[in-house]
Amino acid sequence: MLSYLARRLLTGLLVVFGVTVMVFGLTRVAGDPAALMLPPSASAADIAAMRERLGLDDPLPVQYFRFLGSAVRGDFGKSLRHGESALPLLVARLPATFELGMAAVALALVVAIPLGVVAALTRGTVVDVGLLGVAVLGQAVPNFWLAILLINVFSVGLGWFPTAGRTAGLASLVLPAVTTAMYLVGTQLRLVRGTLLEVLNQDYMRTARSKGLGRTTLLIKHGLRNALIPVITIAGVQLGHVLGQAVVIETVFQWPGLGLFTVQAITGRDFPVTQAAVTLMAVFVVGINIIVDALYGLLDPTIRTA
Amino acid sequence: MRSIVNLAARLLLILATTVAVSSALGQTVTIAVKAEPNTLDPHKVVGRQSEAFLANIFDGLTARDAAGTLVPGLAESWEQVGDTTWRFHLRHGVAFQNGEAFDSESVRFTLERAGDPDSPATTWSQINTITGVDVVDAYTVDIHTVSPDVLLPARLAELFGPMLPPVYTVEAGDDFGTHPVGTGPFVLKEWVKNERLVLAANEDYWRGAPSVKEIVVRPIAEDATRVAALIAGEVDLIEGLPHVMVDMIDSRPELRVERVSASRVFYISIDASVKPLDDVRVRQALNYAIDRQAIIDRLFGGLGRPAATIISAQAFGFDPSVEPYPYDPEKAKALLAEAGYPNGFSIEFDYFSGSVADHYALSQAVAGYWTQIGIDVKENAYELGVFQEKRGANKAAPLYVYSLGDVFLEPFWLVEWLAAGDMSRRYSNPEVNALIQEIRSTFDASRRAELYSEVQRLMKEDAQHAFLFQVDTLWGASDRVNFTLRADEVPWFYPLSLAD
Repeated sequence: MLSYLARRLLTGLLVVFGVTVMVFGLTRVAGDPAALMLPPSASAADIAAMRERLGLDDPLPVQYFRFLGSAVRGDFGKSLRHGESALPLLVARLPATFELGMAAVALALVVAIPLGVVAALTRGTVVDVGLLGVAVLGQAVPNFWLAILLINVFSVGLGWFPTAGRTAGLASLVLPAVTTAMYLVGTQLRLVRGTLLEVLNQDYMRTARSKGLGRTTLLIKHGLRNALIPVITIAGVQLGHVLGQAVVIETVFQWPGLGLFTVQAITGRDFPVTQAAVTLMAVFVVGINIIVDALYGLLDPTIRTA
Repeated sequence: MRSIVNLAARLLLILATTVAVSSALGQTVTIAVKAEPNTLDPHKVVGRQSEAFLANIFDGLTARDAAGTLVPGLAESWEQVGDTTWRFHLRHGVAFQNGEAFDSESVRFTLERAGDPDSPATTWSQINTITGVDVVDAYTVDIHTVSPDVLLPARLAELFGPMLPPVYTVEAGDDFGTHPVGTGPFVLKEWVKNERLVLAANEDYWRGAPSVKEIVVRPIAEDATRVAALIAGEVDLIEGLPHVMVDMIDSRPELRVERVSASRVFYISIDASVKPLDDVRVRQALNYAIDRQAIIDRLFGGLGRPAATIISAQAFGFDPSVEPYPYDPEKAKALLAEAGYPNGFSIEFDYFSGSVADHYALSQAVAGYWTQIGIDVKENAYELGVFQEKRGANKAAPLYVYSLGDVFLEPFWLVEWLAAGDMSRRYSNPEVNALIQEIRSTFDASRRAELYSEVQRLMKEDAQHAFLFQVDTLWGASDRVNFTLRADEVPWFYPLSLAD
């Protein structure tokens, strides 16, 4: 188990390293921050001087290793736009994104598990088809469109929730969390349905039935318990997906998290913040994957040596 | 099951009450903007949005009134005392928000900080004609310029001339940007980035205390969300109302649209040094081919005006007798034929998305009009940052879209900018250059106006640009507040008041 984890950690590190190379390269080919930081009246000489002050005229490998050398010590440099250290700026935005992610995944599980069970038990009926339809719809609807629809219905029309921001406590969280959860529900519902159907056909289930166990006990104790292992795994992985979705959801709802801040950094060519944000996200996703793998190993002994 | 529904209903009710309470905080006005300033340090601001916001916390030596006219600010008067020297007489008894007195020393400190050779202000290029500041006495300063600069008083208005308190600024260091101190009408009370920026009235403001005691500024980047926040009554004012959403606001009795013509002129740069654009008839044909009014009507709800040159209608020296090119596709085709291109030609056209103003849709419309007179337009669509790099490297296509606003409402610098020769700025007309040099040092306003008329006539005729139009800047407002936009588009909250 330990050597397995050590191996996963090592590959994780390699992935993060690869991500830093990619984000560094991509930011450098995607435009010059110096020109965007000066007013239109700035001359070419002004822009060149700004590039020099920002250290952007050094050769790329020099810039990269300078970045990497500081980054391993947790120093991603100062934000070009905000003039403050990039990492603390981002860390201050983590709670908002974490809150949104947890709420969305929890909400998705609460909705998807019962609906998935219902779909599995009513397999092939109108109910099953209807639920699968909803699941597909949840995954197919573009999240920015859904977000604006929800704002128009629940904020503008009914006045139940604020349109944007994170200033009204729990009420602010509802619409962004529901929008994010919609996509997750689809995946989870189908997964619960599929694994439960598979489990219900297993030999041990037949044995349990033949022992005369009640339908509910059978379903919950023997069926659902086993069916939930992959669901938990996926829920963990989905926390990573939420980060990707946050880029859109946080922008539409002005949710002051990592996603919104990253989008602003990218548009403003704020290299230090973009690099720190992407590295941070990579660490986060890799970390979750390792944790999920470890948990999975604990839950299912056959995985441990794999 | 019923109890769950019941519980859910109660929960919703509680949530709904929280929202209602938080939006009805008496004397506070809430304003949603597209983006918050990147910093509140006047020497580190990036972008017009950030520059313009400063006026609420700082004052310049000069200021603008609602009509955009230059008026006294921290300086009560100013005069020329030599070809390259302006003397400013400062207002007595003004204190910074931390109690520091405002005097000549503040002016000297501020301008020297802005021009620090090791780290000049981001806005330095707007005031870099300044070569030195002499303190004459506690309330008189002489500011020297490298050459006669008719524009200096305008340069030192709120956008680029905010005055800083010397002692505090040095003490605060890098923290100044998040804990600014100025002499302006509002004090920064709280700033939670990406969430809200709270301004409190400066009760000791030298113009008199503002009527509204607290202003909450919320950045809401997404247009649809910002408009929804106004309709839902969460905010009282929104910046950047999209033209396509005007009807939504107009149809609600409690809301209104505030508008002012923006000085930004959209244009297509035409490279007169390459074939076939070196023929003035071809360039004029490109101009006649575009139906400017139709683009304004379709894309901007009719809220705009066609432009003849880079000089906007509200700027000093604007000459209405130089009229924009009319839409005349037949004439355009005839000119092309005359120039030897009866079947048109093939040409590249660069445009971009992602800037504060939308250049994308209008560029596609322009390309469509050119196609109609037989030109094969090769369109390259870029993201702003990528295009800026290409333009900066002097590699933009022979035709590319751009726009400029006149921050000084005195436009010779715009013409000079277009003619700079580098960064894909290719305007070349020796006659115009000579006129601009003359304007720079002509302190007699009526003579300057004559020179500007000549500049406009020449710029239209040589057609090295297809100037398109100016469009209106729109804000959405609730009837709860009295607010009008300033002609220079600075979001100036000092006159803001609550309707009774």
